[in-house]
Amino acid sequence: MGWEKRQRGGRYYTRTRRVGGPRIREYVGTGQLAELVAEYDAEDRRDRQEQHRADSERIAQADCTDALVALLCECAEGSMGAQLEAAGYHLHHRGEWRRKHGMQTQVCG
Amino acid sequence: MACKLKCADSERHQALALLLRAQDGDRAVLPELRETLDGSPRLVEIYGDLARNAQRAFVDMLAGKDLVVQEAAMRKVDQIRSQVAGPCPSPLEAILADRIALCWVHMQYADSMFVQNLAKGDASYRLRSYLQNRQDRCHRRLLSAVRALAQVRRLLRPSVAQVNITTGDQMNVAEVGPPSVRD
Repeated sequence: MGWEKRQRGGRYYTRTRRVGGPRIREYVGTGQLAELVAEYDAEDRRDRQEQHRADSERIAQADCTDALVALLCECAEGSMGAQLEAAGYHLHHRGEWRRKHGMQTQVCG
Repeated sequence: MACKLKCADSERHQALALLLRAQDGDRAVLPELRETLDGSPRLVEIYGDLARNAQRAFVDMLAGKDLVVQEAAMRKVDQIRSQVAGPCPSPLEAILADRIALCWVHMQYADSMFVQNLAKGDASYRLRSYLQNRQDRCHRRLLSAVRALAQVRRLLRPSVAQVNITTGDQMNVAEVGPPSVRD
C-alpha cells in the first residue's frame, strides 16, 4: 500500500488488498483525490491498529483470569488424583480411573 | 476496662500493619506473619480460601458497582456450592464442589462478556471468536468439574452392605461397592 513513482514523474497511489486468498493491487490515481484516499486509508489503518491493540489487551486480561481458574482446577484435580490413587485406583490411558481386580477399595474421602 | 480496649486496639493495628507489609511483599515480616496466621484460623479462612476469593472476584467483575447483584450473585454461588456438596461432604468433595461453583461463575462471566460484546456491535471478528472459544472452554471446564465430583462419589463411596431378611430362616447379604471400571 503506498505511493509509486512513475518514469514520467509524479506519484501514483496504489493499495493492495486480499480478496479471498490472493492479494490484488488496486490503482487509485494521482492528484488531490489520491491524497485524500491515502489520508483516509491511513486513518482507517490507525483505527484498525488501535482496535487490535485494545483487543489484545482484553484478551490478555481474560487469559490472566482464565489461568487462575485453570490453576485452581488443576489443584482440585491433583487432590482428587491423589485420593483415588491412595484408594487403589490408577488412571488408565489418561482417561478413566480403574481399580485392579481383586483389590480392596480403601475409602478415605 | 479502658486499658484492655486500648491494648486490643493497638494489637489490631499491629496486625493490620503486618498484613499490609506482607501484602506489599516484604519478606522480613514472614516469621511474624506465620505466627499470626497460626494463631488466627479466621485469617487463614479469609486469605487462604483461593477458590472463594476467585469466586468473589468474578462476581465483582460481573456485577460492577451494583451491590444488589453482587450480594445476590454471591448467594447464588454459595447455594450452588452447598447443593452440589450435599449435607456432609468429605474434604475432597468440598474441594470439588468449590471447583464446580468457581467454574459456574466463570462460565457466567464468559457468557456475559460475549453477550456484551455482541450487543455493542463494534467488536472485531478476532475478539468475538476469542470470546466464543472462551465460552466453550469454560463450559468444558464446568462439565469436567461436575464429572470429577460424580466420579469421586461413585468410586470412593463407602461400601454398603445390603441385607435382606425374609420371614423364614433365609437371610441374603450382598455388598455393594464401587465399580472396578468407570463406564
